[in-house]
Amino acid sequence: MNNDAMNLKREIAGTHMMLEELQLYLNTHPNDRNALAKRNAFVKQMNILNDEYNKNFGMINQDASLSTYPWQWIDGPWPWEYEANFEI
Amino acid sequence: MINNRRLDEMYYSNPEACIPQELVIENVRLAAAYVPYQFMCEVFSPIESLAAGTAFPELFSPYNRKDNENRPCRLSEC
Repeated sequence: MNNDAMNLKREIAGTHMMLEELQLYLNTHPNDRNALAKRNAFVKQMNILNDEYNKNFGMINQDASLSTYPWQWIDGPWPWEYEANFEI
Repeated sequence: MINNRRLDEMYYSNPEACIPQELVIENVRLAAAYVPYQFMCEVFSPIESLAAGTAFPELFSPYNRKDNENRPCRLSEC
């Protein structure tokens, strides 16, 4: 996998982490306006990054990405394989 | 779930002195566990959060000494 794909995948992973963390926080702090604004911003960010990855590099995951013909998911390295991952 | 709107508003009325946790804990009892109510001040960047394992600096306190230098300050040090 080329470098750009890896950098984008790292950014997507970071965005995903922020969503999970902020959502956990919001579950116990529903009144926190600042946290909610940050979380919504990351949702938009995630959509943009997913589309960008899907357009340039293929499927980021099995659920949120469109696939060209034939089914692409089985082509790339599996998510748990070394080549599909990155250093933080 | 106790309603923390009052607590939230009290702490967010003063953004400069953003302290990431409740400081006054009332009616505590001997040997009763209590977790201070958290307030979000700053969050790590996405990549920092991946490395730290949390997005909240106030929750980052690893065991190994090297990373422990930049852990959040204890109340006495703040």
